[in-house]
Amino acid sequence: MLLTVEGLEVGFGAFSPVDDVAFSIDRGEILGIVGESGSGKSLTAIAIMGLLSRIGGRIVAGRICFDGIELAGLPEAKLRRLRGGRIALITQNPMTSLDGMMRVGPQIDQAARLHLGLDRRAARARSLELMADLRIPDPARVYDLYPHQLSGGMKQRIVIAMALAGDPELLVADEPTTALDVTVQAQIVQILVELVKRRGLAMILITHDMGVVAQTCDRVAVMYCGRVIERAQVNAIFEDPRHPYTQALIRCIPRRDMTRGSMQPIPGMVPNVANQPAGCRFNPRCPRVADICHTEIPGLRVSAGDHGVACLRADAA
Amino acid sequence: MSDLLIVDHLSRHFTNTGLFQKRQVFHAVSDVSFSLARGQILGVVGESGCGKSTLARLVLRLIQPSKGAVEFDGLDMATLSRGDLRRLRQRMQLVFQDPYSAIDPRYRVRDALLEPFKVQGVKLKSADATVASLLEMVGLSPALTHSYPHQLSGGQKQRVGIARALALNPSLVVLDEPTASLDVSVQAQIIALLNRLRESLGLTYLFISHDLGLVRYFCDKILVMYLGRIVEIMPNDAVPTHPYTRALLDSTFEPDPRQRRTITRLSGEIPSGYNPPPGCAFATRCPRVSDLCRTNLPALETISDHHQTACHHPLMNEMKSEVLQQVNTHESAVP
Amino acid sequence: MRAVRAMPMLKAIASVKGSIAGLYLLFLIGGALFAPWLSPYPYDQQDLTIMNQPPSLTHLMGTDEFGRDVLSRMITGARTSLSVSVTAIGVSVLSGLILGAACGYFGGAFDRVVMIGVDLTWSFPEILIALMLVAIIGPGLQGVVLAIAIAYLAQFTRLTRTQVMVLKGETFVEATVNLGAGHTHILFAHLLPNALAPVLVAAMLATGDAIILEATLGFFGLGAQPPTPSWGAMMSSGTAQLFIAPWVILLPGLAVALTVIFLNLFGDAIITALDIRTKLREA
Repeated sequence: MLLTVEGLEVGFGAFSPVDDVAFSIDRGEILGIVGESGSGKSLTAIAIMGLLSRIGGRIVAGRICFDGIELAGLPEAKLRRLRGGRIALITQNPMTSLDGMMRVGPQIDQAARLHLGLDRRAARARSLELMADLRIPDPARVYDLYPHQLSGGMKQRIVIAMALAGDPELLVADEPTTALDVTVQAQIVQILVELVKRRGLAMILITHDMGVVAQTCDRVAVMYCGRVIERAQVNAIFEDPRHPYTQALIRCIPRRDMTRGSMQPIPGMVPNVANQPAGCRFNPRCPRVADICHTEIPGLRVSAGDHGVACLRADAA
Repeated sequence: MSDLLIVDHLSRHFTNTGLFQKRQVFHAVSDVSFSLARGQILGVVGESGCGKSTLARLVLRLIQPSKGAVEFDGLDMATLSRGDLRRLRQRMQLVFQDPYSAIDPRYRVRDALLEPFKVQGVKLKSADATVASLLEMVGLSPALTHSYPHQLSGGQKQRVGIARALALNPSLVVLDEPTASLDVSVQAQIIALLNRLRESLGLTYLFISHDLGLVRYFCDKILVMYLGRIVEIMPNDAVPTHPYTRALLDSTFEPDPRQRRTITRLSGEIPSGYNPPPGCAFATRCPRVSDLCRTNLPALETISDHHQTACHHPLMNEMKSEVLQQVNTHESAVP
Repeated sequence: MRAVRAMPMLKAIASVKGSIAGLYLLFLIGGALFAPWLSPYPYDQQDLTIMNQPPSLTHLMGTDEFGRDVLSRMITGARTSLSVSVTAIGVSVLSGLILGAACGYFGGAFDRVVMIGVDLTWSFPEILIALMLVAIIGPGLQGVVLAIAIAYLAQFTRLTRTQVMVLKGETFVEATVNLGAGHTHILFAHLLPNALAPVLVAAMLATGDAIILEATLGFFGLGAQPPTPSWGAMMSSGTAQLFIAPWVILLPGLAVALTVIFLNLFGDAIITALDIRTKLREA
């Protein structure tokens, strides 16, 4: 396994918005981390990137093991060498991850010069190659443009090129297509999937969109209120979802065969970090809730086919 | 079934003049016509910049059209006086995309819900009872009566927005991407709420969205826009014939890993609304483009009942069967 | 998440700063209000036998060249300085709000004409405006009030106008238009209340400047006429005794400086504490 996360707990002051999160990912694989706002999916990504201290958080417990290196507690200098190099982040909003005052080409060069030690000419050649690889038309021209001269989809491709410039082994993509139009979104997703398969990268795709997950991921971890509540192969998640939250989440998405009114929303709302219910955090909204759910916190129990479910009543339905 | 809303050749352009700039005309909406029957839901789909939000505001006359007319319940809105238009506003309401900014941050929920009555000069027997019944109608707890918007979640704020829009008992509600900034589970709740309200109150919706999947689920009729023009109008269960609609459909991700598709790749850039091409606006990205498309603007032509498309080379029989087949296999794949 | 950590600290600093400044201002306003009762001596009681005495137990801040008690004159001077600057800024804020809101909301030719006029006042130094007005009206407090009000009019008009123009584009304003609301409702129920906070903070900061301006005008003999004391006038008369009785000029100067500093601090504290929209963004 390239990356193994075990028992990860992220703390902010007195709160733990991410608690007991575990998953692993190997080369050539896409792992989807799905969840709604407040599920802790983005914080998990930030923890892997070693950027928690910047936003005032810390790793309270657990391990993040990248290719034999323990990232939790690694000094900043060593983290910096990995970040942008062997581990790269693709952020949600291409408008904010690009420097508006700088031409896009040199922004791509940075990682290659920093992490691969290339000189300006070599970095430029490499950037042009990457841009062509990402199907950016006329790379030599685009290289000298400013971000505001590019469309949203082009900007996101530049951001992806920036991430690839340091020759990463692990890509962490945090909602890489949310800010884009649907047709552009489809292109970007397709580019990312091809990239992972062709280059044998590992990618953690963080998203709230079960549709994107179904179309791209190999394995899926579903998060709710800071915990992984189900983890399985992508087909198993959609065909045999065992956690009531996963089941409900899938029923929330309009499909072609649905008639109006057949979508079944989950009642209630995601509880606040400061106000988590005792026991299973899904218990106030769960159709299967029993007394035990209010007292005991369910751990992830893994059964055949590496299908893990954190539900005390998984066998009840 | 009578038409509540008739939009006739509606256009709106914006003129951009700067001190040192050449005068530029931005064509936001061009020559849009459609009608909406009472009790129906019409979905308007398109990507950012296609003019769907401008269309919503033109229909509500929040902005004035450059050309064309909007007829609401038999009234030509252009002929109304300012006062009449203000009174008419209670019958046509708007729900906004961003619930975070649609409520004055200084207003408590109660004040926000009572504002419509104050504005229209409606005397209430009991303000408390009105607020309570509005909150109940949209499924909010009465405990939120005195909350400020920043104390509410996105879904709660959107419910307040809906309650405010429905306070004056409108007939037409324009929903401008009401779920675009919400989580999927909250989106499902809001859509279910909107559906329930439509049934119980007999509302007519103009539903604006970028999500064709959602529009197909929720709407009776779909209007697809591209660069300010209608490219296709069709019933929600029809098979799209315009290559752009087809591309939109292919770009929606089905939540089914067994139905992985390769995407019809759209190359090329969207032309700018400042300088729309003489022919079909989609010609720069269309896989079926011919010379004719680059020079001649395709007119909206009727293909079958309630189905019109603006394309020189619509995807007719040959493609249609393929799509149908896909839809069928898909249906059988779902347990 | 960041907000969770940073907010309490910010609030603490703001409240410490704000409370110290607030306490000082309260003390000052109290002194100005109850000046006749608080002053140990009448401010105009002359006694040439005790000219230019340094601070002592009988005269806590010493006496001036006419043997008048400096403390009593300081307290009464606070009354003049504060009332002049507060009245002037009040007039200025009120006119600025009306003009700025009208310009920002309606725009067009009206906006252009008013803004040209307002900008004109901005292009003259405050002192020059005051001198011109005094030349027209004659020396006295009315002229000073009017001069300060005009000097700050451009600032408040511009600020209100910009605020209103930004707010006009907010979704909640469009939502209100869509409810069928007229101009009055939109202006008074949404635009002005939301524009008010920054204008009030600016007014707080401008009051500090206005005190300096009043003192400057007083120093030139344009404001309060003797024997009415104002901090500026006191400093002016103190220049002659700078080396014999420095307290006569230093103490009013110190009062001006402290008041301006604390007004600024208080304004800062209000910015952090009161702005609902910033809080909203942080949350």
